[in-house]
Amino acid sequence: MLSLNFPRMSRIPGVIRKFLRTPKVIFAELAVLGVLCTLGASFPQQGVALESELRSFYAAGNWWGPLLATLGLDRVFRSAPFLAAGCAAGISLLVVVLEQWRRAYVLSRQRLSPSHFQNAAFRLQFEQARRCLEKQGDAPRVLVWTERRAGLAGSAIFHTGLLLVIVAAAWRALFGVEAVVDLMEGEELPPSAAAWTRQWPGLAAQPIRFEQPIKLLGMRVSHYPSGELRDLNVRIAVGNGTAATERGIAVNQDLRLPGGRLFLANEFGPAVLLEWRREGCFTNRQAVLLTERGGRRFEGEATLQSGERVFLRAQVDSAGNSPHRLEARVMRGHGLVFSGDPAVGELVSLANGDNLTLCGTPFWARLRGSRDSAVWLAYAGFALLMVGATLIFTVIKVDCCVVISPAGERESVFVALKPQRFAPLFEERFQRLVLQLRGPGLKEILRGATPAVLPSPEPDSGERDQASLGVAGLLPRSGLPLLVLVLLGLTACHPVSTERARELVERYNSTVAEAYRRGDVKLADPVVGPNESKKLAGLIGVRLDLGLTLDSELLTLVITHVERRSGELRVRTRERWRYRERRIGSGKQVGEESLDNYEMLYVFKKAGPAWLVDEIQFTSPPEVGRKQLPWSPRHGSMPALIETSKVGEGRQP
Amino acid sequence: MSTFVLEALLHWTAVALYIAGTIGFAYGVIFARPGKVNWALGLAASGLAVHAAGLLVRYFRVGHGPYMLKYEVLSSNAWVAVAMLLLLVWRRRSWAAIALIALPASILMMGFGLFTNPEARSLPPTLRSLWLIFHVLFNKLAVGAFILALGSAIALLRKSNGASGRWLDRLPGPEALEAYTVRFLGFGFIFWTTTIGAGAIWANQSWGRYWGWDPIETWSLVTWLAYAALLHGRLFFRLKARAVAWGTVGCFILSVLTILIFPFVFPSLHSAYFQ
Repeated sequence: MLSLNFPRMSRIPGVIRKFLRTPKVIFAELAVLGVLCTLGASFPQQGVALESELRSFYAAGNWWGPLLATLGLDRVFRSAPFLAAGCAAGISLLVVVLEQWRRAYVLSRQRLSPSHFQNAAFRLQFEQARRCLEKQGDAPRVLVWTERRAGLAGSAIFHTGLLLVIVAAAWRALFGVEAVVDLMEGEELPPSAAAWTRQWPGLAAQPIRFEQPIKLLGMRVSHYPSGELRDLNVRIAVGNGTAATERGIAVNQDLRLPGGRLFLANEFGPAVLLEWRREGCFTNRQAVLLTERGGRRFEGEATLQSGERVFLRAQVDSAGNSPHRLEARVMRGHGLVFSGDPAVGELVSLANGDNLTLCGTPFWARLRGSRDSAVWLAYAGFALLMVGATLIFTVIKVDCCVVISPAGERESVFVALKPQRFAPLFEERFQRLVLQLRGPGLKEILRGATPAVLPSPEPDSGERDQASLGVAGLLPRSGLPLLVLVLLGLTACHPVSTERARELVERYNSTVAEAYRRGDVKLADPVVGPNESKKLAGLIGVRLDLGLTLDSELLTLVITHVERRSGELRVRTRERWRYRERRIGSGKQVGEESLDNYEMLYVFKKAGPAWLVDEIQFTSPPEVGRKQLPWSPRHGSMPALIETSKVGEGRQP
Repeated sequence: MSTFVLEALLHWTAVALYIAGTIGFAYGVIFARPGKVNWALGLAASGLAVHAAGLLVRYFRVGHGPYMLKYEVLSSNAWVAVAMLLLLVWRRRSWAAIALIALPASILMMGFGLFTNPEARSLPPTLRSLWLIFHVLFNKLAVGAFILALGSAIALLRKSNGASGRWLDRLPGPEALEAYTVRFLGFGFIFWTTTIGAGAIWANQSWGRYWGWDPIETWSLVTWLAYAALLHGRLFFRLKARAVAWGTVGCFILSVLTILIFPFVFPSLHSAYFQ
């Protein structure tokens, strides 16, 4: 047999382990993470928000912007509290995951018995004509099975997925790296870390660096008729010289290279190559990257070494060709030096004698690099999260139990259903099961279901019917304690327990004793059926005729047997009573008191929600203490009652 | 008739049918007329069909699914919520009273969307991804499940306050209502998790990172944490039914803020597509 040994977490002391999985701690971790995330989402964060957003955040108000920055609310996700909460949540999660897998394993191996159903959400016992226990001597049949056992793993899978995502995120924070670079057509990205415009490496990560140079060969841009970008593709050459291979990347279509992955971002536009020359002084060359302002219109500006600012605007045609003519404006301070629409390659002479040349307008594109070797772990975590959550809410483990036991000429069927969660939603399922059991489906269930308690193979059990589902057949000889447990469980599951029987008998006796004391038979109506009511009316009436009432006290009551039989409840008892006859009016005792011992059988019948006494019998001759009746039988018309009162002292029967 | 006029006509017809369905549900539930509930179901289902036609016309007109503008997002969210409601009521007629909460909420959502700018916008290349469809679809399913959970939670709160009435009496008992509330929350939670997962995969495909602490990403995580805390409280720590109901209301408000309000408040990658 396979034996799974789950880690005992021996390295984590028990106290800490318990502490980490207590509800308060888990809620506190969730609350702290929630609050910190709320703060992080509410204020612009360094490394996430645009520089302009951060600047306006710092400049907000006279004092609260700087104050919030001083409090570190612009770097919540890099703060010590956030990292501490994340670590605590991760460790708690690890403890919970190990605990849940262990629990799921134990529960999946659990051998259920009927006692497991004592607190089942749905239980029912009914009797029916014999259909399963065909012979008189048939042993009871017990069948316990579990449906949708896979639901047990839901929580464990979910939390494992969450743990994997956290591990992947931690790995990324440590060893992951992101980088960005803007390349123009014809420009090459050398195989060095410094070639990238900006890098965001993890705490322990090396900067990104592809092993081979990457050259942007060309771009293909297409727009919708409305002017919005439809598609963006670039062709790149990976490698040196003639050994380079041409590859294509597009938005949402990355390229895996040795050293990382290369992505194409949405940002692109024409780059304007400017040459600014002042005769005898200097020659400046500069590339201005124009960015989109909507409707295929691109704008950009540059400040030259000599202090002039150049504003450029270009329109890209619907075919995505680079512009051949631009709108240019040159400012010195607040003065306009030049304004016009120079063509590419045209030399523009400015008023101050400087010359400006637009050398070309190639396209530029923003490329992103990324390296994260734990992405697969995060994806696996996401998948497990979804599988686990789906199992938790859609696959609910249900334990079912059917016990069929003989009940005289009939058989008693006990059926119980115990869902793992959402019990109220299983009412229909239970009703279907009961209907199956009441109908022709009973035998099918007994055949089809997998018994949870299987007969143990025994070397000397040749004569035993292995296929039998009877209690005796289900248990090994050493399983006697289990048999006792099963029977105890069955007793506990029985709708009328010994305690309930005692309660019924005590209630009956106290009510009838009061009726005798007051001489009012109507007081007994709530506890007696019509047969007993007639008897009581006679017995109480006889005493009233004699001017007597009966003062009785139940001294001891022992329930010796309780039996449910075809709508009846039969309770056998041993009782000890004290009786005194009293005169109506004076209350004086008449005759001697009597201490009697009885062995009785009460037959209760169900009337609506109540059990009423239908019949009472002595099961052995009563022991009556007094030797002489306090009143003589003068009413010859009632010999039976008098005879009865001789043995039962007129109270009962 | 231009496709825009047809689309608007279909949307407004759907609103009218939903309103008629709500009145039918109210009459059938309050005056205990099961026959009228069937009528109301039919009216709302007709509205759903007309609404679907409106969304389809929109799809053929703009060439993409309903995820670019408030107009499209709200309309499609309302469609999913009504579809889930009708599915529930079709299977469980005793739940018809929930329609009195879920249907007006959907009508409001749709009405609000119809008064925003319906101008068609083209799909940028970043949004052209299979993961976008999962991201948006599961987000809408989550909204639908959360609306049903909200309706169930409100009914549970009314019942646990001792309120009674014909429409309340027709609903299941408090225990069953609580179980249904948690189950709707659970389905919403699954869908929300899938939304985040699909978005993360898509982000990794587009930008080389699956998580970037973008404000709306982070708010969706906060919402997820809130639902996770609520479900943990109920499933593992035996949170009381009333607390679950109030938690459901609170989490619903948070999810609505995350989906519909915060994208307009906080600068985010998501903001551009909702304007």
